[in-house]
Amino acid sequence: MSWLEILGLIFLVVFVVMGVVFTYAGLIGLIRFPDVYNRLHATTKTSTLGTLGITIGVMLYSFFSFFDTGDLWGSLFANGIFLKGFVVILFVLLTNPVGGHMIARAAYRTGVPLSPKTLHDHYGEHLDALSVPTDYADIQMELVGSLVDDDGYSGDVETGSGENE
Amino acid sequence: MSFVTAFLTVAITLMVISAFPIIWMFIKKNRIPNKVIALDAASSVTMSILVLMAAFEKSAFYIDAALVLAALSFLSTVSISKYLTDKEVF
Repeated sequence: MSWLEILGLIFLVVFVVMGVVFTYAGLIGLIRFPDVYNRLHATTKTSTLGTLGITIGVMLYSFFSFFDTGDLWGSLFANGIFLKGFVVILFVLLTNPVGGHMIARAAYRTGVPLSPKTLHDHYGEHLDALSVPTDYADIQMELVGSLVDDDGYSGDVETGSGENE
Repeated sequence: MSFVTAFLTVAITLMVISAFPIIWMFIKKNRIPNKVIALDAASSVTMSILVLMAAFEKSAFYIDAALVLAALSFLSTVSISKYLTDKEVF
């Protein structure tokens, strides 16, 4: 076992442990957070970082274990894991924040209530100023068949965002 | 059984275990954005499992599957969100 292979092994262990730890942190956030928006905050960032860490670890491990044979060209290009892992990283970095933003926008505009612990709601003030309707609850009714609130709160919540001034 | 095989086996097992609470959240939560969030998290966990399987089997084809899964997950997320906000997909 040469030192290049050991270097690749160290990269593999460090980055894959980082990815698994971030994935479990996102899981705890998904279960424990009270709100759609908080849950989105937890899962989007941590799933990006988890997938990123695991992919970088596998990429560097395969690069160094190919490079061990002295073939730089092969370890960069003929080894499919390195290039395809790079493409996966680019794709995840581009699409995951866009997807999270789209879900948050759709959730707010379909009238999913905020948690009662929310302090500020600047997006709601902005939409009120533009007079954009934020109540499309009939879509939820049509698709799921009920408006039963599973987060333990519902309806209009006093957000305390400076309306009492 | 070398160190790499054992390490990757443990990592794949942990990622598979982490998929079960996501499926439970998908079934339990009622609102549509909650379900979409759970779907997104499940697809990213599956992508991680596929990338780890690529290192386990030393084959690059698993990463193709991960890439296709990422594209499908992004497409489904964006189309569901567009449908919820605008009541039409395109």
